[in-house]
Amino acid sequence: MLHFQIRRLLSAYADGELEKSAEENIRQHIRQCDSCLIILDEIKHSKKVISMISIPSAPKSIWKKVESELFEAKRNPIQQYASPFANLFDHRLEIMLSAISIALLIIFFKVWQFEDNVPEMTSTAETHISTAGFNYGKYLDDIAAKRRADGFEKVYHGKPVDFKTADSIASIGDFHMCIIPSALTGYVLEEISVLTDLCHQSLEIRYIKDGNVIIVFQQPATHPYSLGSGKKEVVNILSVYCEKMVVGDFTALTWELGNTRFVAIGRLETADFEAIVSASIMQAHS
Amino acid sequence: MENEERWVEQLKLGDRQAFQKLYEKYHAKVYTTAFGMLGNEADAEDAVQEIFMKIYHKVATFNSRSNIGTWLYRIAVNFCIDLKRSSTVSPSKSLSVEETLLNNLHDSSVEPEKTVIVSEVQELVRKAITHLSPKLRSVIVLRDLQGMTHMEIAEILGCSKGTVSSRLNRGRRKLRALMILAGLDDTYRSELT
Repeated sequence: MLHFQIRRLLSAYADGELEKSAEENIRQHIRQCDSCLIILDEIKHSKKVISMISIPSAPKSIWKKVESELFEAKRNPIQQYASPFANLFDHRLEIMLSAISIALLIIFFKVWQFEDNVPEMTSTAETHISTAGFNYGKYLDDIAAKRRADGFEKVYHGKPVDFKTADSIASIGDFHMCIIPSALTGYVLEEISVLTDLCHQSLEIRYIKDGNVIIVFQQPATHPYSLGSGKKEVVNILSVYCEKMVVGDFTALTWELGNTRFVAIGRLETADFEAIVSASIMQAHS
Repeated sequence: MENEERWVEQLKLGDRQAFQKLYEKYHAKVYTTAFGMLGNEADAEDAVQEIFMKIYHKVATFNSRSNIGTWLYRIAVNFCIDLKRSSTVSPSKSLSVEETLLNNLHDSSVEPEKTVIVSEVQELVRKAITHLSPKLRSVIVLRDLQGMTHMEIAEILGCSKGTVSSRLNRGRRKLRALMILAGLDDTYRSELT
């Protein structure tokens, strides 16, 4: 195991959550690595300190308050709040999700008519993405060697995928997404997670149909392992060729990369852009 | 578990006794979660009350194939995170980490670490936990205060087990950094052993 992989597992090791083989790997490593031993010591001590916090008992008065609030209401509380419009604030999540669903449906029907046309921008975008490149260095070579040794080649619709050329990744703002066969998820996560661990960015996995996986991860353009100077052009190209629709506070974009159509919905104007992504895999072009 | 499933089905029909049984089973753990997330007793009490009100109102949406405990804890954690974000939590119930340390410094000639006793360390740790981001705070509370497994936490938070482990790593190390920032370095260890 590589050094940073050991470090990521130290909490799990301290909590006894690892399998025997992984536990033994770590045990052997920390015999020789002072820095990991120090980190493990920090983790264990944090655990001990936290466990010593004295938690007061929950007062009995809480139940009395709940009881009087719920069961002394004039109407049945469940019926009182049955109407979705009774308290709009409490149902803001449902309202937002409904708006997004409607937006998705509209976009789906709108782009469906373009299914037979492969936009010219696809090949242009791919060219730009492929020239941007990551700079993962030797680490990627090690991961690739391990993956091949295990008998896997990353395949993306019949084409070999390599994060160095980033030809399987679509980006919008600081968010990047790729689609891979689920059997390769572990290897891809290893490659991406070094970024999330180093710069504490979010990583999210969404499973879609046919055993494929979408991975969405956030990585700012200023990060040393970023897509580089080509990224801005990619985003510009995608923005120009995207189908764009605004629904309330949400902006929806659709674009294609290779044989995959992406839909992203979010509040582009805010700093916390959260992409809700769905993708449909188009049929291979004849 | 079968009892719980029966309670939930009865609660969906508005059965008050079923709700009370569910409350008796889970209220202490929900209180511990709220206390860990919010950092003080008064806010934890209010939160527990609101959380169980929410549970009562939302039980109709509960999918009986899921685990009731997981669903319940998820409501509790999300409620506490939202509460903290909306800043309705009383702002100065407890001192900042730095203020507490400074208050402990009675005399400039006395080394700070000697004036800090166990209860003050606990207070600082409680405060430090509330300074963590919601993602890190929730895993720390569920694991180190509640003793849940990584898998249970992953189910509650809707993330992978690896993500839980990763966040625990970061949370525990950040906590350690916060304690050092408060002036509690290795010398306080002897107070706790």
